[in-house]
Amino acid sequence: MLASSRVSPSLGGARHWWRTLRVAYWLGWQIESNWTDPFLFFVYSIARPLGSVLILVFMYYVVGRAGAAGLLGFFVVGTACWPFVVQGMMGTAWSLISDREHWKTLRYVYTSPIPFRAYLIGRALAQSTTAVSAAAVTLVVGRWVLGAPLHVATIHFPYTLVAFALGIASVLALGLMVVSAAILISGEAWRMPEGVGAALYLISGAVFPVSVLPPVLRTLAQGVPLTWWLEAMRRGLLPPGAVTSFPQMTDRQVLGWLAVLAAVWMVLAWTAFTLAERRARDRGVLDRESAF
Amino acid sequence: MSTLAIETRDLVRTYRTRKSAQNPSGGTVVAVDGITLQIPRGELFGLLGPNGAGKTTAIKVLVTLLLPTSGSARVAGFDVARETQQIRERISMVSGGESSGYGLLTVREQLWMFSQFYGLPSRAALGRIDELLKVVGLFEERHRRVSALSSGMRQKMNLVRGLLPDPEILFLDEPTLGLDVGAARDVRAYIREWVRQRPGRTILLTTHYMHEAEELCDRVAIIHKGAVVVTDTPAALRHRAAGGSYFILTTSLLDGATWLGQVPGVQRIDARDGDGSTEVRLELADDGVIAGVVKALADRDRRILSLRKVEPSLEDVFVQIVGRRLEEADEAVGRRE
Ligand SMILES: Nc1ncnc2c1ncn2[C@@H]1O[C@H](COP(=O)(O)OP(=O)(O)OP(=O)(O)O)[C@@H](O)[C@H]1O
Ligand SMILES: [Mg+2]
Repeated sequence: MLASSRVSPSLGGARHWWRTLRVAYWLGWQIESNWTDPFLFFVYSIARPLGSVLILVFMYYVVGRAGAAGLLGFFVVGTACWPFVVQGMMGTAWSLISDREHWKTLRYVYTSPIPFRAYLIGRALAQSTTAVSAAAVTLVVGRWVLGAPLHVATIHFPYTLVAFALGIASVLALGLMVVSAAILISGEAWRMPEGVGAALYLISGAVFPVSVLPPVLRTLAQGVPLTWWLEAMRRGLLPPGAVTSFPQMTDRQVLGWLAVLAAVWMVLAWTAFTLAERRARDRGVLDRESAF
Repeated sequence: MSTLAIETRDLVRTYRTRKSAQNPSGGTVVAVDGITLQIPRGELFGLLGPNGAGKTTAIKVLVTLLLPTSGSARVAGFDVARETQQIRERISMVSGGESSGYGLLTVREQLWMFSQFYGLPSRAALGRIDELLKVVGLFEERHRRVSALSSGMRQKMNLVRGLLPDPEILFLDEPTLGLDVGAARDVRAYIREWVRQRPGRTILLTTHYMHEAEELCDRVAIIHKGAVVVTDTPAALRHRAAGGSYFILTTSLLDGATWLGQVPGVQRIDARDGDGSTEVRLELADDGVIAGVVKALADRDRRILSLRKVEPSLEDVFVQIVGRRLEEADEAVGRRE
């Protein structure tokens, strides 16, 4: 038949999904690891996380003097995990916005026969990977300089790994949601992910237990998978008896809530993205470069 | 399988504009205002029209970037609103005059990445990339970063990206905009070769260069203010222009040429007095009438300085239809940035 020979049979289906994700990851990594300048590499990979740790140390001693010495482990784990949220969630939105407004490639990526979500998730995972060095620096400094109670003997590895995977899934779901909003915003789109990140930092128990929040915010916090993720990571990494956000819950319950919320948010994000994509096509903003 | 590559029916696309200082009420811009087109497979079809006519908007709808506001459009037989995946597997798009590309990647990496999105096997894709880079004269630059390319080079790279998946339907929005004369000629030659060697492949092209449309297109549609004014082959359109060819006659000063209009068979006459001579534009019922004109001039002792027959160009048609020359339109509307 005329012109009906497909270029390749490997479009559609799980294989193309996987391939798109891999290529998007590769692209994201090329962009993120573009350290032509060793100084920049140092600033971003070492100095910045070190800075967060130092802030942490300072806070720890201020709060510690007030009699909350048990909080050190809480701080260290929270600070080590947070870069995954920043990179994974905000980075996803930034990937999309920079594709649209900086590289001006979004229209070509979008109109290629890829599962677009696979592309976004690939980019998000590449962003998340850049958080590894920050997390490692924080944990090392936290353990050996500050003396946080991180001991191989008391780390619950399988639990931590499952929690970590669910956490990344939650971060991706949040990323997809932020993208859904960012795709519809122009001009100010760059600022939106920052704001969401700051709000989450406040309520999800990154630096202080959720239990100290006012009741309304506490309820809100319980609906965010990140809260449960940080809680689960602490339970996995720290010895029993460390300060936690939900002292009345068992480890299993925490992991259970995390799994449920991660799944719920994934479904929500998927739906949000479907709606946002349709609206963006309707409004003609997919390749918009500046505020019209 | 549909025999039409592209089919639109009363396609309308409006943009809602925000309220702003220049535009206090906000409001809607009708970019595409009821376009009906039928483009069979295998055709190289051109969209012509002044700035803001709606060409790019129409293409955006067809490549699934924009939803139609009303009406319908089918590409390769699939509906642009609902069957996007099927369409995307069969098309690609290149727009000229833009500097798109991941600046951090090399030319080859960037193209490889897109080949993966189209599901091409990696090794075959790299082979095809090198081949196409040679065609557009970019092979030497293949390991350079995209950010180091000139805008014309980027455009060639984007053309390669568009050709890479060997699409059934290729959308080219001003593909030679910003290319130097030689490069533009190469690109046109390659585009022509590309469709010729692949029967059944379709190209929808927009351009502001009339000679480009004449040289490349099997058929063109002239669109103006979002609507199709006329669709035909370039040759047929040229014949439509004021009844086909005309004559330009230069004579010694005439001092009024209305009497020439009395010559039987002269349909229109347009005289302009110059420096000691008069230029007369004559539209005749047929070429034989020119003998009568020459005789009438001889009878009145006017010398014929020159006489030539002019075949109307597509540009003439365009001017007649759109009312202004393209360049004037360009100035009036101004290039949008
Ligand atoms: N994103 C947008 N928001 C609002 N109006 C728009 C947008 N894009 C295009 N328009 C308007 O729609 C109309 C058609 O624009 P379009 O870009 O389709 O024209 P065009 O024929 O491609 O012109 P050109 O020859 O200059 O490329 C114009 O009036 C333009 O101002
Ligand atoms: Mg245009």
